Amino acid sequence: MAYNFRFHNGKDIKGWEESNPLNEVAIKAIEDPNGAHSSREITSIPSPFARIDLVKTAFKEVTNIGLDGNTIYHKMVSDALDIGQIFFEADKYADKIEIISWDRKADLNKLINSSNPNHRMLGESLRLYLEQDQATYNFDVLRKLYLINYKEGDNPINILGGTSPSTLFFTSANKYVLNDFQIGDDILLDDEYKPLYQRDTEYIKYLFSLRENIPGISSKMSELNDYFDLTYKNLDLHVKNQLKDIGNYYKNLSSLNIAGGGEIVEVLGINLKKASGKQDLIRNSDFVIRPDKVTKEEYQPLVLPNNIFNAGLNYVTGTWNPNSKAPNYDPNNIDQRILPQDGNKYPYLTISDFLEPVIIRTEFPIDGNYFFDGSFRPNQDIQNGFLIPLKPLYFKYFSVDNLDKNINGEKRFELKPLSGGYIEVILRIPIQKDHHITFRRTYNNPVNQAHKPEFNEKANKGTIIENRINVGITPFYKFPEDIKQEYNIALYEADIVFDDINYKLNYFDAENNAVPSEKIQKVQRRFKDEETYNMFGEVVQNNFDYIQLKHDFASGILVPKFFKKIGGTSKFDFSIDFGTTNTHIEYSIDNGNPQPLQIEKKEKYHIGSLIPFKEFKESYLTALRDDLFPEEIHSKSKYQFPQRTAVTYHKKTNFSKPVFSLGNISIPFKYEKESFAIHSKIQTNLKWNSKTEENQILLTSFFEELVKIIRNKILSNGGVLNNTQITWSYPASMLKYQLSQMESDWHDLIQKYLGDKVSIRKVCESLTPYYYYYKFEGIPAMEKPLVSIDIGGGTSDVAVYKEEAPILFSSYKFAGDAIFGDNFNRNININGFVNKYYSKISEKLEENDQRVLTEAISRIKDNESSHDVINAFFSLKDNKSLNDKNIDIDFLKFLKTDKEFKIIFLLFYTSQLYHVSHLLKSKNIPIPGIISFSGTASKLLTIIDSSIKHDNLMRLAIETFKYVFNTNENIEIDIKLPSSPKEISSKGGLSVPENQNINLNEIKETLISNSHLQSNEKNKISYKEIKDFEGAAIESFDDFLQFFLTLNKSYPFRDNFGIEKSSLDFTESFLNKKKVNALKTGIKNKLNEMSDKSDEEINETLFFYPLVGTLGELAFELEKNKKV
Amino acid sequence: MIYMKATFLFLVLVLSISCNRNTNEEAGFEVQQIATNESIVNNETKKANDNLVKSTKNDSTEKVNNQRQNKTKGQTHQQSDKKIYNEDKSKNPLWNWWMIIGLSSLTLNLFFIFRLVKSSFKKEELRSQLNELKNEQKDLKFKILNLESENNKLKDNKKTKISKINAPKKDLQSEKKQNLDDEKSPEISLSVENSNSTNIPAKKPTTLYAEKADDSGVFSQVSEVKDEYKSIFKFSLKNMSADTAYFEILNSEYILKMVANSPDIYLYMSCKPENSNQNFTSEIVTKQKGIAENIDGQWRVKKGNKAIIKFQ
Repeated sequence: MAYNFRFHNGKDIKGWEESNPLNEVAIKAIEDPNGAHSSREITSIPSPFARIDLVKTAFKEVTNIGLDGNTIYHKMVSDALDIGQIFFEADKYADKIEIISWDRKADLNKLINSSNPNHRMLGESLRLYLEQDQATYNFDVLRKLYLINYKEGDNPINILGGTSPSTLFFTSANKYVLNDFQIGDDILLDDEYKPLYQRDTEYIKYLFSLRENIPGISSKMSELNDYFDLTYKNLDLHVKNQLKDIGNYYKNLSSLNIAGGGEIVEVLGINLKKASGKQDLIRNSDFVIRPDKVTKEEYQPLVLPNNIFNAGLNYVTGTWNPNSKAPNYDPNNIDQRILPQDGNKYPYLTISDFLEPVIIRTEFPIDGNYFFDGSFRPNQDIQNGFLIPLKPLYFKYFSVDNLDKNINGEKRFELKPLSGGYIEVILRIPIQKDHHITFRRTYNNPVNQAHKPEFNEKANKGTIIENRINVGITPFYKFPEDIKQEYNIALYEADIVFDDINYKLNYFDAENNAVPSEKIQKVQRRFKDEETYNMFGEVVQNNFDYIQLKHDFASGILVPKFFKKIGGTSKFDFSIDFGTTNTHIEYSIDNGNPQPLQIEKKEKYHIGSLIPFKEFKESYLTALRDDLFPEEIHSKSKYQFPQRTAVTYHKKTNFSKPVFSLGNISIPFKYEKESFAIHSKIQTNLKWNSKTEENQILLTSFFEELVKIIRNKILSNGGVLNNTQITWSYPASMLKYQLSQMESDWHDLIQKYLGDKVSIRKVCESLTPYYYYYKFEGIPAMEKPLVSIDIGGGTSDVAVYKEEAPILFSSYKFAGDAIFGDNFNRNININGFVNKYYSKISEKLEENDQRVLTEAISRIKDNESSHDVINAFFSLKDNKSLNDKNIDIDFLKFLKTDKEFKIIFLLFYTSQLYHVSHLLKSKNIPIPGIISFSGTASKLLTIIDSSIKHDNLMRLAIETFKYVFNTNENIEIDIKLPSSPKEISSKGGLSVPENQNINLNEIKETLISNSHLQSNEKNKISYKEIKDFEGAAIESFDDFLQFFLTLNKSYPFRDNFGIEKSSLDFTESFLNKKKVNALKTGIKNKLNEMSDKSDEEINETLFFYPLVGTLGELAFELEKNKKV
Repeated sequence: MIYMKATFLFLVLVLSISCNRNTNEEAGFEVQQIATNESIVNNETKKANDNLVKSTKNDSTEKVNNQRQNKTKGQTHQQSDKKIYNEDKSKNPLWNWWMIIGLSSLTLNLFFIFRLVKSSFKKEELRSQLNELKNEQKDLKFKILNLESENNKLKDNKKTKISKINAPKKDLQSEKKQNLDDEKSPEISLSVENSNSTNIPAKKPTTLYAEKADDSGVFSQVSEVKDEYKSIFKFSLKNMSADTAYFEILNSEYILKMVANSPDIYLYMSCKPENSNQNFTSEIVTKQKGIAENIDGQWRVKKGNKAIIKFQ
C-alpha cells in the first residue's frame, strides 16, 4: 500500500487527482506528535508575525483547554501576560529594560529604501505580511510596535517581547535568564506558567480596564477577549467585586512613556498604562516594622525573615512564602533596596542592619546592675561578658528601655552561650499584627586571637573579639533639663594582642542622634607604654541613652541603666570645711542632724562601671576608682571624709591645656592608703593663697569634684537643687582679695553644676565651732565669755563670744605644723617625730603584713614633707584594712605614752592659753567660763590629758588665767574637746544662723606682744615697724617661759605628765638659747611673705615665733639625747 | 612473638598428644591386665583365681598399680603382678620414648611459659613507658602550641611595631597592602608528629609560672605554661612532686611595667620591697627569692617567706 506523505488526515488521493488547499479543518487534523506538550518554543518560522499568530492561537487554545495547564500554549499565554506585566511595572525595571518603538511607516520605509539589499528584502517581506494579513491581525490599524529590550542580556539587543495588535502582548520566544524579575512569588518568563486570574490584583484590574477601553475588542482580539471572559469566571470574589467597582481605574493610571519622554506606548491607539507606585500598597504589608519610637519616615521599612516563617502574614501582593528567606545582608542603601521575592523597590531591613558582624567580649562579666547585659549569665565555658552587638539603626526604631522587655512572651534581645565558647544572639523585631521577626546570629570564636576577626554577613556568620576594656560613668542618672548636663566617662583599654587599635566612644541621645563633637571633651590620663593600659577621659555635656564603643575591628553598644528617680522635695544643706590638710563636708536633710558626706553602698548611682567593682583585681580596672572616685565613701569603707586635701594627675600634665576634673585630674581618695602609679603625681597642701596658675587649677579641680559629688548626693537622694544651701568656710587669715577670688570660684562652680538658685554663703571657719556647741550641745555664751580655739594644721583661730555673739577674734600661725612641720627651713631628716616613729610604725605594719600601707607611707615620705608623713601616721587609726584586722596603730596613742615628747605638747597648750588670756586681759574681757577646742590639731591636747573631764587641761587653764590675770580667786573653766574636732567646724557651718553676717575685721585684735595690742580702734602698726617689737616679744616669751617653769612647782610635771626634770631643764636652756634666733627668723619669713606689702598692718602676734622655730628642733634634740 | 606463639601451640599439641597416648596406653594396659588374669585362671587354682578375679573386679582400674604395690597381698598375687608388669614392659617398647618426648615437651613448655610470662611483664613495662611518653608528648604538644601562640603574638607585636615605624610608608602603600594577606600569622612548623617522640628523654618539669597572690597569699593560675602577659612569678621546684618552690619575678618588660605601677595588686601580697615603686625605671630585682608551699593543692606564700625585691 502506498504511503501518503502529508501531515493531515483526509481522503486518499490516487494518481494525479485534484486536491484542496489546506484549510482550518485540515490544519486541525494535523496530529501533534508531542500532543501540545512540547517544552520548546515553536521557532521554525523566525518572524514576528509568526509569533503574533502563535500567541493568538495560544490564547484560543488555552481558552478551549482551560486556564490551568502546562502545554506550550499555556506557556505562550503566561509569557505574553508576563510581557504585559513588565510593561505595567516598567518603572520597577527601569534600570533593566528599555522600550523600543518600531514605526510601521517610517521604519518600514527605511528598510525598503535602504541601500542594503538584504534590508530592502526584509522590508519588502514585512510589508507583504502587513498588507496581506492586515484584517486577520489588525495590522490595518497598527501604527507602531513596542518592543522590550533586556539591557542585561548577553547580546547587544535582547528582545523579550512586545505589543501585539492581536493579543496586546507577545513574546519573542528567546530564552533569557532574567535577574530579579519577580512579582510576588511569580518569577516572570520562567518555566512555571501562571494564568491571569492568579496574578497580582492590580494587574488584573489594569488588563480588564484596558479591555473596556479597546473598542471592538470582541471582534479584533476575540481570542484574548474569550480568555478574559474565562478568567473572570475564575477570579476570587473580592477581585470580582473590585472589577465591578473599577470606575476610572484605567484613567487614573499614568500612561506608559518611553524613557520618561513624551512618546506613549499604545496598542491599536489605546494607551498602555503603568502601575501606580507600590509603596502605598507595601506600606500596608504585615511585615512593616512596628517601632517604639515615632519616626519621620514616609515609608517605614519592612523587616523580612531570614529563616522559615510560617505565620501566614501578607507580604506585598500575597502571603509570605514560608520557605522564602530574605537575605542576611543587602549592600544597598535601605531606600534603594529591592524587596526579595517581589522586586519592588521599597526599604526593608535585614539581620545585618541590626546586628554587628563582630561581638566584643570583655575579660570579665558585664555588671548587669549598671548596663544591659542581654540577660547573659556566665557559665563554665564562658566567664566573660559581651557588649551588645546592635547597630545604632536599631535604636532609630526602638527605645533602650524596651530592650529588656518581652514580645509575645519572649525576650526582645538575648545573648545565649553555646558550647565551645560560641555565642548566639537572638533579636526579635516587632512587626504588624503583633507579630515579630526573630533574627539569630551565631558568633564563633576566632581561629586565632591574633587574627583580625573574620566574619560573613551574607552567610550570617559572626565572630568574637576579646577586648580588655572597662568604662566608668559618673553620674549614673539622666540629668533634668534645667541643670547642666555633664557626664564624666572613663574608658580603659588594656588590649594585648591588638595593642594599638583606635577606640572611640559615640554617644546617642533619646532621638538616636549622635551627641555632637563640640559637646564632648577628650583627654588621655594614662598611657599604655607607661602602665600597660590607656585611659581616656571624656566629658560629655549632653544626656545620652547609649554609647557605641567602636574600634578598628568591631563595635558594640553599652546601654546604661540610668537611675530614673532623680530629685525630689527634700532640702539639703551642705557645709564644706576646706582645710589645707584635710577637707570635710557635712550635710543635713530637711534641717535634720548633720552627718558626714558619704557615698553609701546603696547609693549606686554616683558612679557605674561596665565591669563589676567586685571584679576589680587588675590594674586597668582599679584605676577607675582613682580617676573618677570610689563607689563607696563612708566611715566603714576604705575611703571616707574628712579627706586629705589633695589632687592627683599625670606627671606630664600640661596645665596650659584644658584640664578636667574627673577627666585627667581627681581627688586621690586612696592617699595614705595605697600605692600610686609611677607616672601619677599627688599634690597636697592645696593652698588658697598660692600665686601660681597651676595651683589655682588644682584647687578649682578639687572644688569641682566636691561639687559634683554634692550634686549627685542631692539628686540621687530625693533632693531639690533649688532649695539647696551650701555653706563654705574660709580661714580668718585670708585677705580680702583672696576671699573675693575664692568666693568667685565657689559661686561659679556651684552655679555651674547646681544651678543659680542654690543658696551659697560663706562663714569664717573660726566662728563655726561655737555654733556647733550652741546648737547641738546647748552651750550658750551668756554671762561668762566662751573662748573658741580652732587649731588647724597651720593656723589657730581664737573667737570669744559673749551673750551669744562674737566680741573678739584673733588668728596666728601656731598650730599642728609648729610641732610636726618643717618650719623655718627645717626638713624631714631632722624631724624628731618622723625619725622616732617612721621605723616603728613601718615595722608594725610589716609585722602585720600590711605591705600596701607601708608602701603608701613610704611613698609619702619620699616627698620629704614631715607634715604629710605625720598626717599619714594619724590616718592609720581610721584605716579600714587595719581596723578590719583589729590591728591597732594609733599614732596619737603612741604620743600619749611618749614621755620624751610630752613637754612639747605641754608647751604648745600652755602657750596658747597664755596668749589667749593676755589677749582677753588686754581687752578687759573677763576670764571665760568655757574654752572649746576644735580643728584637727586640737586632738593633740589629748596627749597631755585624755581623761573624759580633761582635769589636767582645766587645771592648766585655770593656773594660766590666774597667773595672767594676777588673781588668787577660785575660778572655774570648763574645757570642751570633742573626739572628732575636725568635723565640728563643718557641723557648726550648718548651724550658723541665717542672719549671721559678722564682719570679723571689726572685732579682730592682734596682740603683737603682751603689751602691744593691734586693734581697729587705734592707729595701725605696719610690718615696716615690726622690728621695733622684737624686744617686747622676747620679754613676753621670757615671761611665758618663766610662768611655765614656775608652773612645774605648783603643778609638778613629773607627777602629772611624767616629764622628767632633765627634759625640763634641757628644754629651758634650749629655748633660751634659740628664742632670739627663732624670733628673728620668724619675722624675716613673715616679711618675705609680705614682700611688697610691708605697709600692711601687723596681723599676727610675735609671741609664738620663738616656739614655732624651736619645737620641731626641740623634738629632734630630745630624741637625739635619748639615743645618746 | 607470633613465632613464639606458634611454637608454643605446637608444643602444647605435642604434649597433649603425648599425654593422650599415655592415657590410651594405660587404658590398654588395663584391658590386657584383665585378659592376662583370665589366662592365669587357667593355670592357677580356682581359689586363687577367684580371689584374683574378685579383687580385680572390685578395684577400680586406676588402683591397679596400687594393687601391684600392695605388699600385704599374697605371694602368688605378688608374683603374678610382677609377671604382668614384666610382660607389659616387654609388650610396650615405645613407652620410654613417649616418656622422654613428653618430659622434654613439658620442659620446653615450662621454658616457653616462663619466656611468655617474662615477655608479658616486659610488654607491660614498655606499655607504661609508652603511656608516659605519650603524656609527655601531650605536654610538649601543649607547650609547643603555647609557644606557637606566643610566637604569633610576638610576631604580631613586631608587626605592629614595624607598622608604627613604617606608618608614613603605610599610607603610601595602603592600597597595595590591602591586597596582601599579611594579617594572618604565618604557619610555623612546630609539629610534634615530625619529631621522634620516643627519643625524648623523660624529663619532669621543675618550673612553674604563677600570677598574683591574693590576700591570703595564695597564688593564682599556677601552671607549667607561661602566659607572657599574665604570669608574674617563676617557680623553681626541685622536682615536680616537690611541695616547695622558690619564686622570683619574671623579667618581662610588659609584666614589670604592669606590676611596678600597681604593686598593691600584683606584688605586695608575696613580696617585700626594699624601696618604693616610685624608684622603678626598668627592672625589679629579686634580692631574695620567696618560698611558696603547695598546701592542699594551692601554692601559697607565708608571711615570712616573701620574696625581697627592689625597684630600680
